[in-house]
Amino acid sequence: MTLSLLARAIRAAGLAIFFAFVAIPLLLHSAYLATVGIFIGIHAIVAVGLGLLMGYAGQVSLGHAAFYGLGAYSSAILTTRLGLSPLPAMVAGTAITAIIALILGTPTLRLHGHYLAMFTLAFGIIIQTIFNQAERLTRGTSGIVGIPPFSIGPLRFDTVPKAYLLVLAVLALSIFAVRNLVNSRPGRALRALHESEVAASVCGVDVPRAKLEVFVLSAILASVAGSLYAHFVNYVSPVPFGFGFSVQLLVMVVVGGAGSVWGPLAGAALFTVLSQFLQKTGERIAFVGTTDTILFGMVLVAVVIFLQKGLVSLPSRLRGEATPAEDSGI
Amino acid sequence: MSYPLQPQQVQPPPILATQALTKVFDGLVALDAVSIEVRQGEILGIIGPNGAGKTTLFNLITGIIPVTKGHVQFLGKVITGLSTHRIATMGIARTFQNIRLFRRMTVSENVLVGRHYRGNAGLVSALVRSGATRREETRLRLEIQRYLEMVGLADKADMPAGALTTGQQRLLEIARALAAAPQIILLDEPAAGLNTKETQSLAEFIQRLPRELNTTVNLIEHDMRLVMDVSDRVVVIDRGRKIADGTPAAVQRDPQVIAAYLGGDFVNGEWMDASELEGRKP
Repeated sequence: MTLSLLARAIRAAGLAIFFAFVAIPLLLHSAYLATVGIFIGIHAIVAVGLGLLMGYAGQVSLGHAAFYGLGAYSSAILTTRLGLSPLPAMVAGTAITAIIALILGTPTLRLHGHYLAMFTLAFGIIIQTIFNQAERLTRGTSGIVGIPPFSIGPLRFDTVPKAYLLVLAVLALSIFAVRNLVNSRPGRALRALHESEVAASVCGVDVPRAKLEVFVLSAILASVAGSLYAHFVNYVSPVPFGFGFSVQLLVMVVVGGAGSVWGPLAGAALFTVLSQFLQKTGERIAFVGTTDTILFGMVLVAVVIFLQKGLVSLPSRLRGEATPAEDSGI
Repeated sequence: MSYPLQPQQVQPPPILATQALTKVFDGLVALDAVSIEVRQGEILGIIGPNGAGKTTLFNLITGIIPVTKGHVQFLGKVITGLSTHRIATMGIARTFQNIRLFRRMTVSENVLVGRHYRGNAGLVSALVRSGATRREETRLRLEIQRYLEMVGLADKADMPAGALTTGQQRLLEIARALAAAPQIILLDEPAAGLNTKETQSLAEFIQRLPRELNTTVNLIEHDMRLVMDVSDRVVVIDRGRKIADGTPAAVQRDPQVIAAYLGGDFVNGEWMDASELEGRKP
């Protein structure tokens, strides 16, 4: 395949930007840039999992903010109340999240259609209500303070650059694992069932089970990201884990492009940078506090109309490869 | 040497059987108490006019749609009501009338999915890409070569399935089904959309399956010459009912079968309806 010069330049530029993003906060010793990098990484871990669910299993979750919140609150409660170390707290959080995802997914993923989206939507609202109302456990709207920074044994990630490296490592590991999965026997089964569930099942693929596994995996990734968030910010409150964030995660995946590993990463980066930028400059423009919503809405509409496979499909689009409208698959 | 009973006269037990299999869609009887038996190693053709219920029969056997009444037996076990993937893993493979390939996946990936249940790698071992997973992947990729070569698509292994011609797609779908090493393969109109030459090589290919892969074949087809050439036995279904069951020669002479084809006649290896016959008369 010969890439056109333009597409090649774009790809090179993309990689350069990627590595620049990774290295610049450390080279400049900029805590601000590293903080933005940490949030990109945390969002990307959730988005990569959600992208796997949407792009490969063809299912939508409207409750991923709740799984993210479960990870964050588990880490917060287990470390501040029970005195657990961050790593076992994170593992316990993922176990709790995995079990809840299993309970949610088992009945819904046997059905055709978007029952999972409805169930996870309701679940997300319930979880946020619990975060708000179960004051003895979660301290309600005032939230939980004093969460220690993440540590593994004597290794403490208590500065911004260290936390940045930690998040990058977890993100790299997540991407590595998801890429392995996509190119493996279970990953092939997922891609197959996304194209035709009937054809996949006559090949012996247990379709409901395959979907359930991916759903649980994506919930686990969200939970891990939530734990990282709690240990970095050292504080959790119900606000970041609401329905709004579930939708924002969806936007990251759709804008970046579901059905690839890099798409959700690009979406998370774009989203996080834009919302940082808007936080700083948005107040100066007339619509205080709503500029980000308006801009994200516009970006989402533009992507859905002009770039259905997301930002990551841009190089192949510029190469002139046609991207025919997707058939529904069933 | 003479034996009281010639071995070839002993009928092998049916590998697949339906008993009074019935499907009702919203009060419309699509299949009405159809009982068929497919014997080990044979090629059974199923013919009938459009809408007779042939594909419904395959959909019931493979569990894609639920059975209204009656039973399906496979290798002596009742499989009615089992899920499609369970039935597949027991050894029933199929193709589709409207080709259902994984179009965005490559040719070899399609066949690899066909061999899905001959592997074990689970989600967790795939995530960490364990040694066992990698060895299994190498083994599976080696094993599917045979099926790619059988249908002559080995040189197109890395092409997306959607880029193949209709004829090649039909062959790929058969290769995908065969990759499971099934006991029986259900072929739903494999010659649809093929030219005469392709149909001829398909006929030769189908005849090789029982001999070379020990796979029993159940074939729905509209190309009469193909069915009559390759089938050991033919079942005729009309308006949801089985109206004939016998050798190709016997079925072609069956008055009920002739009537079912709109009073047509079997001329030069082709079913002709009355209007077509008009044109041929001197």
